[in-house]
Amino acid sequence: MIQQLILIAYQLIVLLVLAATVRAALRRENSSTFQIMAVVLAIPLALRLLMIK
Amino acid sequence: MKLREWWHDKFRRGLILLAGAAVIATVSGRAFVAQRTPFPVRRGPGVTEVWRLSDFLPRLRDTRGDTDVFVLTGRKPGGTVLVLGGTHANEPAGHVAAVVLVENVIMEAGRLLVIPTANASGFSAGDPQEASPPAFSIAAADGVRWFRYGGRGSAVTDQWPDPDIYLHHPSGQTLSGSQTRNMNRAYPGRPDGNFTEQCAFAVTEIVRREKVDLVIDLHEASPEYPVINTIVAHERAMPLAVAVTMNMELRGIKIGLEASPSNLRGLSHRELGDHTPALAVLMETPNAAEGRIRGRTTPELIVTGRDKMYVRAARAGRLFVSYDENGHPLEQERVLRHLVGIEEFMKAFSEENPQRPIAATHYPEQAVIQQSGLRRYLRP
Repeated sequence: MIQQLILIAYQLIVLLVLAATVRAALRRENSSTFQIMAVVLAIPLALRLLMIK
Repeated sequence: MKLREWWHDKFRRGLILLAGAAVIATVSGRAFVAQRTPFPVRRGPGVTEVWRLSDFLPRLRDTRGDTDVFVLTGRKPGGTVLVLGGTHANEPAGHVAAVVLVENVIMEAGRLLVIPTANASGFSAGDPQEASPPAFSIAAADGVRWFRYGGRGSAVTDQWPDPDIYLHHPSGQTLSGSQTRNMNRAYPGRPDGNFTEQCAFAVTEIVRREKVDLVIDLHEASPEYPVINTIVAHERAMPLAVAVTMNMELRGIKIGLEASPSNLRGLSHRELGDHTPALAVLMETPNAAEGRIRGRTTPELIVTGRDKMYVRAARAGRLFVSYDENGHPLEQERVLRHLVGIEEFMKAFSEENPQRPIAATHYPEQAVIQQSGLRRYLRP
């Protein structure tokens, strides 16, 4: 039970960070360099979310 | 001009770039997850039961550590031998030889237990930074059979993080932290240990509960590794291993013999020999695909062992095995060495223990494999 709760918490954290990354990539106020970095960071975060069992 | 203006809008540009990122993540993610599909093992005519590793440690159920245990029971009572393939998923001669046994052998006396993928988790992903192919294929009786090529240890998605230092239980010996996922450093294992220790414990439980007489752990090693083309035997198994070595040499199969070092802990031949009544041995063959000197790791390298850099290394005297342009083929040499070794171990055990024979029929023939590989012995 605790293991499942930890798993859910971890998935939510990764999802939160991915959401923040996506938001950063879409904000007009951020520089182009920042935007590119956010897009690149989104890839491993999305993969991590996919691979969490 | 309109396109450039459109592109300069960061929000729209972000959407396009994120869409591209989603495509990359989807394609690569699907390829990664596809590695979790196990390779096929056909149930041969000699298989009388199929257990699961979780039958011996229930907490492994529904995890990637759970795997099939094939049971081949003879008509007559006798001894029990356990063959472990796939302890290291990047040592294909082990799991291919195990599959050949499952799909062909019919036991006459005694019992043969076969686990083709002892560390099933290791087959779900390659080792990071190795760039290994996820699979390779061999010609079969009617078509092609594919096998998984994985990593040396349990996948990092099943057990993470690695500690800085791995403390072996129960000896307390310290090893590099990455060895915590190496099943052949986890024996005898423990039921409440880490994922890999649990898998090792389940195998140890099979040996104990099923009163296994003989354990044969199939491995490969890089050509620059000194323990290669060798049987490593626990001291109680040494008389048997001596007989097997001589018989293999008489059959034209070069094989060395090493004693299991008592100060290197966690290995199957050491711990299963110490913690169970079974005779424990391990067999090694050369595998360039896991070596450090190799060039690009391709399915062809896995199957043929042909590598230019290893030929150069051999000429420079850096290897512990001879190496030329012919390489070391998986079918005609490496799997064959394992199969002949297992056959000789069963014969030698039966001679030493006539009241507990282990005898098989329909055993793959050395001459056939040397001539035409495993084609005849891999079911379509």
